[in-house]
Amino acid sequence: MSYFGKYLTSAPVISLITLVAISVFLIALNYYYPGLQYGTYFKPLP
Amino acid sequence: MKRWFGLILAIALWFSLVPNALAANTTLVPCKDSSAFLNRQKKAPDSYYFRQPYQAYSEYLVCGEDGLPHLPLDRLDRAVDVAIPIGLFLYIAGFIGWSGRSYLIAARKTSNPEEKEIFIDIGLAIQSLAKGLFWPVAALNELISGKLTSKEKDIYVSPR
Repeated sequence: MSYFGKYLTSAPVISLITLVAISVFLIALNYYYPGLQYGTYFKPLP
Repeated sequence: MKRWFGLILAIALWFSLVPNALAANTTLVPCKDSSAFLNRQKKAPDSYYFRQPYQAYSEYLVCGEDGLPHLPLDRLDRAVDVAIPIGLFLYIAGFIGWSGRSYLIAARKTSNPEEKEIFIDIGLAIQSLAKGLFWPVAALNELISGKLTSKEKDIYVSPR
């Protein structure tokens, strides 16, 4: 079990987990604030 | 001292080289006045991901003849539209770099630095990420104290 825990901290696994977390965050951001790109930052949606 | 001269020179150049004033770009109009944009808006699929962005663009952005939003770089009143993405990019790039750098520096002080590069020490990584959040201040501090760069004598120069 401790070997599995160690495997989970290996660089490729950590980078994959980070990548998935960032993707989920950006997809959720686009869901709640669609059209945040192209200079509509910090402006309320009409 | 040399560093300060460089900084003073950069600031002097920054203020003395004033670019010619350009006439305002008149081909870009507010999106809600652009017929090409309104046409695109009408044709867009009626879904959450199109309705809201198109409304935001028509409200806040300027469109070209193609009916697509453009970011004008020739006027100061819309400078924030480009300054925010550029600032975010530089901050995030610096955050990534600074966290990695502080992780490697911290790992170097432990007994097994090579292993810490292959198996990430989560506690150390979270500490480094937290340090990375304040990277502009940390980088400035290290630049002034001379810790940011290596000493001249530590840099190996191949004989020539």
